[in-house]
Formats: sequence, C-alpha cells, structure tokens
Amino acid sequence: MDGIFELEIKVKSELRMGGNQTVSSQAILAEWDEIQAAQREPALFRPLYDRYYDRIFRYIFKRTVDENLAADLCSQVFLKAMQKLSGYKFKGVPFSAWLYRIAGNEVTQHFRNTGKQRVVSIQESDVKEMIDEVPEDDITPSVNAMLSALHELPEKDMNLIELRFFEHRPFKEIAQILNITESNAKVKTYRILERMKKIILTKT
Amino acid sequence: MKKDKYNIKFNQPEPTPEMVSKHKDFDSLLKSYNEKGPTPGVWSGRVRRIGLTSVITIAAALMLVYFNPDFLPQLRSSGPVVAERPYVDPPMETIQAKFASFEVDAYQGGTYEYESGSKIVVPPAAFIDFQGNPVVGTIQLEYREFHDPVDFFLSGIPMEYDSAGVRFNLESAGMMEIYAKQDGKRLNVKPGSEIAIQLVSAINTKGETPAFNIYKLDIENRNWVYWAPNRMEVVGGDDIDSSMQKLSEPELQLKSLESEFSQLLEEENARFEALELKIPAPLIPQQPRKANEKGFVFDLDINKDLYPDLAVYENVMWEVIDIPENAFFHKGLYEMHWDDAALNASSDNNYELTLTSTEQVISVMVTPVLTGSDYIKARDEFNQKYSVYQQEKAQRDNRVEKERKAIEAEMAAIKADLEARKKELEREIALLKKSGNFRALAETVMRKKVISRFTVDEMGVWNADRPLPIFQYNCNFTLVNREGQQYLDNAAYFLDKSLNTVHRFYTSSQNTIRFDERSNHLLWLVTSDGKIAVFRPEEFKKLERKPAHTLTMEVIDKTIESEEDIREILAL
Repeated sequence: MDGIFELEIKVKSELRMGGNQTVSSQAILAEWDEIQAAQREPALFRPLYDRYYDRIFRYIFKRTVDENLAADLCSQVFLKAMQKLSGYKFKGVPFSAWLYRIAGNEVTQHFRNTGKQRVVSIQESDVKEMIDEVPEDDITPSVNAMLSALHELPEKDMNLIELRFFEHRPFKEIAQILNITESNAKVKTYRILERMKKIILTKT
Repeated sequence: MKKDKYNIKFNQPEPTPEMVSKHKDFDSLLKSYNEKGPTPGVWSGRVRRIGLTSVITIAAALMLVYFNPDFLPQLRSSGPVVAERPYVDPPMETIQAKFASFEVDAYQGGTYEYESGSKIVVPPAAFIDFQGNPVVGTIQLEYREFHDPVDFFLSGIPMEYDSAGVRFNLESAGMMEIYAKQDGKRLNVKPGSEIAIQLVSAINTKGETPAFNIYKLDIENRNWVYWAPNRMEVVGGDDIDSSMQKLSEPELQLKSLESEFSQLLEEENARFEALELKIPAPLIPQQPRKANEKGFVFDLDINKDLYPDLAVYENVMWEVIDIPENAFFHKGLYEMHWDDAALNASSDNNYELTLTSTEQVISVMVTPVLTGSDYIKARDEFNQKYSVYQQEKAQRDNRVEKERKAIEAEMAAIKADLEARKKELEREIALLKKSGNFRALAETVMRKKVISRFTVDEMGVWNADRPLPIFQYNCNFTLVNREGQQYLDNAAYFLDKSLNTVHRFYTSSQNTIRFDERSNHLLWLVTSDGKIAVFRPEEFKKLERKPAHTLTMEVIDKTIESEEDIREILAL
C-alpha cells in the first residue's frame, strides 16, 4: 500500500453511544444549576441541548435506523423536554436519564402510531456476549436461538436488554434511565436471561 | 407462521458525527418552543397563583410548607376547581355511550327493545310539552344504559348517595337514561302516566341475591332519590369471575408469604450477582487470525508510543472483513493517494479504518491478521496463554461455586422455614374448605343475569342500586406521579372489582378511601392532558396495613380514543 500514516486513533469503545459513563455527583450538581437557569430563561437550555443532542440522536437512531426519522423524533424529545422543564425536579440523577425516558416514550409512541415493528439494532458480537451471560447449563445457545428468544420478550424487557447488551451501559445508568434501583436492574437482567434460557430450552 | 415481534437490524453502522450534527439546530428548536410555549397545567400554576396574593398569604403558605413534612410538589389539574365541577362530570366528553333513538307514536305508545334486551313500554298519550299541553304525533324516545364501572366512569354520573347525612356508594344492577323530544324540544311524562322499564343487566352476588332499590338522579340537589323497591328476577348466570374473588384470611397470609418468598429469591439472585462481580473471571486471550490470501490487506505503520492499545499487534496486517458493508471495496482504492487515516476500535476485535483524501472519505471495517511465521508464533503464544487462562478460570469457577453453595445453604434454611409456614396455611385452608366454612370466608363472587322491573314518572337517569356495605378500614392515600408530584383536583376513580360501582373523588393532598385489603382494588385518574394514570390491583396487594400510603400512579402514555382504549388500560 502507498504511504505510511501516522494514525490518529480514538478508541471507539469509549466513545460508543456518546460515552456511556456514569456521571459524578459534582457534575450532576453543576448541571442542576444549568437546568434552573433554563427553567428561568428557555434560551439557556442551549448548553444542555449541545451536551445531549448527540447521545439522544444516537439512542433514537439505534431504535429506528432511519436518519430523518431519528432527527424528527430527536427534535420532539428536546421540544418536550423544554416544554416540561418547569416541572423538572432535582433527584440527584443526571439530566440525561430524564431525556432518555422522554426519548424512549417518543420511540414507543411512534411505533404504536405507525403500527410498524419496533426496530432493534444488534451487532453480532453483542449476541455472543449475551450468550456468555446466559446462566450456564448443559447447552450453549446458538445466535439464532437467542434471536428467536428475543422476539418473545415484552417491550419492557427488551428495553433493558438493549441498554445492557446492545448499548453496553453500566447498570447504574440503566437504573437511572428506567427509574429503578441498580440492584433491581441487575436482578431483572438476570431474570430476563433466565427466561430466555427457558424459552430456548422449550424450543429445542 | 408467527410474525416476529421486533424488526432486528444486524450490524448497522453507527451514525457519523457529520450525520448527527447536520440535524442539530437549537435556534429552530427555541423558535418552535416560543411558538408552542410550555406544556400547560404543570406545577408552575400554583406558584403564579401564590405570587398574585398578599404578602401575608405568602408567609402563611411558606409556613405550611415548612411545618408539613409530607409536602410534595404538586400537579394541579388544569380543569375547574372541585367546587365548580358539575355534578354529572364526564371525564372524556368525546367518549360517551350512544343513545338508541326510537320513533314513538305519542298517541298510541308501544313497546321498544334496546340492544341489551331491555324493554321500554310506553303507555298511550304519555307525554306533555313544557307548557303542559298533551303531545300528539311522532316523538323521538332516546335511551341508553350503563352497566359496569367503565360505563359509570365515562358517563360522569356519580354513584355516591347521601342518606340523611350518611354517605354510601351505590352498587348498581344497571342504570339507564331516558328522555323524549319532538322537533328538538324536550318533553315530560304526563302526570299520572308512567313508563315501564324491564332493564336486563347483571349483578355480582356472594350467595343469596341481594335486594336492590330504584333511585333517580336529582341533578339540581346533587343526590340520588329513593324511588321504589326493585322487583328483580334472576334469569341466569352463576358465572364465577376470578378477578372479582376476595381472599380469606389464611389465603391473605399465604399471599404475603409468597411475596416474602419472591423477595428472598430476589435477594438470593442479587447475592449471586454480587458474587460474580466480586470474583472477576480471567480475561480470555485473543486468538490470532491468519490472513486470507485472497482478501484485501493494509499494512499500516502505527506509532505505538502514541497508541499503546495497538502495541499488542506485532507485524500485524489489517484485512478488509468480508461483510456486506465492505462490498464497495475494490482493488482500485489501493492505487489512490490518501492524506489521512484513522483506526477506531469497534467490536469483537474489529476496527473501522477511515481513509481521507481531498476528493473523498471512505470507511471500511478491518480486522488484525498475521501471516507466515508471525501467525505461527502468535498461535503458539495463544495456545500457552489459553492453557493458563483455562487453569485460572477453573480456579475461579471453583471459588465461585464454593461461595455460591454457602449462600444457597444459608438461603435454604430460610426457605425451609417459609415452606413449613406455607404448608401449615395450606392445611388450614384445606380444613376450612372441608368444614364448609371456606365459602363464607372467601366470599366467592358470582355474576348473575337479572331483569329489573320498575316504572319511571319523569325523564332522566334511573338506577337499580343498593347502598354498599362498609369496607374493612379507612386509609389515607396521597397520589403522586413518577416524578413525585402530587395530583390535585383531578377526578379520580376507585373500585373494588367484586362490586359493580365506582367511587369518584377529586384528588387532594390526602384522600381517604375505604379499603378492603382482601379485594382486588383499582384506582385511576385522568391527568390534565387527558391521559389515564393508574394504580393496579397487584400494587394494592403489596401495600402494608398502615393508615397512610403514597401511591405512585403509572401514567399510561396512550391517546384515549374510545371506550375500548379505556377497557384495555384498566383491564376491565
């Protein structure tokens, strides 16, 4: 190959989904100042918009795989967030959790309104990772068996699986998004995997 | 063939930063917001109202907040305050039971049948106009019925009955509304005439058929008025609806035991989960891949000081992966001059290679591969590392297993105790059943088809009812949404599934409800934006016996368009 390049490397896993890291208490408190300012003056919502637009867009894109639709729904999410901001109360969790909840509702509503199947974006490696997590038994499920079991999950469970395995979010963040405790998020995940295993076993 | 529930998209590329940023436009968002404004009815209304009153009121309000530890942020309904609410207050004006319209010869009268099988018998010359003149010719008789809690809810007709200062809820064996009109003008029933009604409906009964009376709705005085006893005939039924059944005391205890058991299992799972985190599994070594001689391969020189993550790749080549997304790649791309390149780690040891020139940018998925002796050397190293990994994993698994067994042993003792208590209760229930006392304790509820026969002397709403027995104990509920904001001035509805009625009240900071912990209760309210927020029977079952509770209502994010939507949401 021609040319030798000095590569500018970004480790994508750290940036994937716009950074799935949990937020420190100090950052949450600093953000609360920004939220209160935006509650007084809507134009001051801009820093929050700038900070979270990318993440919310990607979150919606994963669930639609349609650029224009993701852009439309993303606009709706931020408009609703601005409209409801006066009722937002500080609860010690990142503002993003609230935005993700609004975004989740918008996506669900979209698929209900259009009657289309809900989109789930998966990397093949994610399914393999999930197989590794399935409580061990005598069998190791195949990718196809896992996919078939995924179709049996109610939407609520699919949301959790998506956040954990297809978006690689830590349990702490999942708990904040779903408004449940961290240990509950873990237990629920474990239960869903158990259930998937049972589904797979009954089908084999 | 069963249709897939989800539309699963495989290995979709992430949106590029350019794709995301081209849609980002805060100024147009702000413009939309300025045009549409904030969502009405949310919390700020109360603050503004306080701001308009005197300084003394502000001080008093602040003291109230300070001295009231239960103070919660409030979600005041955008509707009129309670005192201004109409007595008949349909929560959803657009969803109303339709009237059946019968054309009646006022001179002759006749018998008319409604879709439920109910009959309306109109005597001859039974109508007068508002001046008291007899009406002749064709008139329209409008008639509709309300049979269950959803019908009562949508009608907006209250089921509360004040009998000489004592308040009851009326349980219905069927309710109907009737009026007559001619040329668009309402008519009255002639004094001395009565229209006979045979109302076909169903009742819930726990054994003997209870006595029902006939009441008419007095909107002016905001109360029901006793009219006559109901001559009711049971014509079929005895269906048992499991959702209506009450529990006996031992069954109640059994239920609480089962909940204890499931909490224990949750705790056990959480401990297993914690154990897995406490003893991390060793990292599985990366298996080297051999270059495909027929594939496209890049040889990149990487500055490992700057990019230590890639230092493990000695003499590595980057092979274009054979996936549909890379189908565009062709030999000609080798010949081009590229000004810049970037490697981004993706998943499963794959990388996204982005090549940039002044003319174009391409992205291709690549994976590290080795050739010849480099591959053999890496493979040998991998085999050694894998053998170490297997040993470490076996040690780790043993350790986890040992600790897991200790947890299981600890939990087994508690489970055994719960099992013993469960068996004892089951035995008690079996004995009660055998002794014939169980039916009375369990209050098995049956549904029977009935016909209520009565006459009405005026147009309006008529109900075959009986005042409800008092529930076990009163409980104070505060209703909040998931954000902890209190619902105020919303029309709310509470029912016991074994009783055919619904109790309407307007939410305040504390709502007293007569509550029977053995029953299946359901509570819902209509939010200021027309959605239903609900607290379901299974949540009521989890409530402990204490005088006050804060109930977190689940707001159903669904636009209500029909009665079926409501039935689906409330599972009624």
